Amino acid sequence: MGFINIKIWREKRDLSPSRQFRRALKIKLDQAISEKYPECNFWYRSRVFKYSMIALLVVFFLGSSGIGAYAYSSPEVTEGGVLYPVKKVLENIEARTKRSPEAKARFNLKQIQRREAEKQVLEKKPRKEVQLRQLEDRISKNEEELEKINRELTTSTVKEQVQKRLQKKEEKLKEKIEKQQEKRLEIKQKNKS
Amino acid sequence: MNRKKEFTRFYEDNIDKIYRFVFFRVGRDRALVEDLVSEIFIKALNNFDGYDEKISRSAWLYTIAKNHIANYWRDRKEEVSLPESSPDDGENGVGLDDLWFREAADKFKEAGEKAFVYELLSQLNYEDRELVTLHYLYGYSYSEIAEMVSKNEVAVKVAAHRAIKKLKNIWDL
Repeated sequence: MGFINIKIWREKRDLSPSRQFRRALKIKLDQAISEKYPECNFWYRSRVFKYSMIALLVVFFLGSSGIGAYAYSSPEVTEGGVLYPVKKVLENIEARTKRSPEAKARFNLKQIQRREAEKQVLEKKPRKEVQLRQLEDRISKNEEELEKINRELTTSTVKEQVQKRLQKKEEKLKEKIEKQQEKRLEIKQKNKS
Repeated sequence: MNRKKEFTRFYEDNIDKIYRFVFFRVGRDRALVEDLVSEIFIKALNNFDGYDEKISRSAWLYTIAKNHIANYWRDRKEEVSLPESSPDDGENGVGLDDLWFREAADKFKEAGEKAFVYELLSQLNYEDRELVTLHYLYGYSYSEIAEMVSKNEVAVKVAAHRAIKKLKNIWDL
């Protein structure tokens, strides 16, 4: 049986397609598949992809050229300016990176300071009342958020403090109960003896 | 999984088996085999929407390949005389299947090498030869063969084992 099996196995091996043919046919079929199922390429062809690529390129250009850094850090870039949208986008990105309430509070404080600096710049310039009003609105929004976070923080710290006190009381009570039990045992032993 | 990935997997699973099947049916002509195999897979792709792996794993492509080769032989009618199918022939005709086998065996003999396996296989009856070639030469699993020949997997396993035993007996004689 073994001899026949080996012969057939060898035959089977010799009947197999070559690597080149497999590869060539795979390429040919891939092309045919792309034509038959164009939805496979939907993402690459879609408008969303094109626009998101353009947006990415713009962000990359702004980031690498230093314009973005200037727009972000300078108080001279104020409401109504060409670079102000860039500043807002970068601030929004920064806001999303803040997770803890402490970090959010620090960020809101920083925002208020930045808006105040912009306000000072705008005040120096003539006919900027609308922008000033918008800035004040933003400052008040930031302040509200800051208050909210502060409230959350204080309530959470009060809760923690109460829990700690309760734990300490529990521990003391347990110690007292144990001591009383020990005393009772001692009294019982004395009575027996 | 999307259809593209599904077809790629389907291709990887079947390319070897179908290539061997066609190679065995048309005999040593690799260029011809490659053309036919390409055409079979293109045909499969064009009809892939109707393919369901749960219904038939390999039988679907095997049927396409069988029909494609039948068409190839029909086109060559003038060069080769086709045998008439007997009443007990299967759907595609056992007579036709025998013709394919004889053609392939003759070509191997003409080449003067590796005709040994074909000579041995020609000693078996049609059903046994089909089982041996499907499992041992093309590489189909017993469950796939059971699907193709509409039989129980265990029955196919037993029949294949008996067929290979017969081959051994023929060799011993």
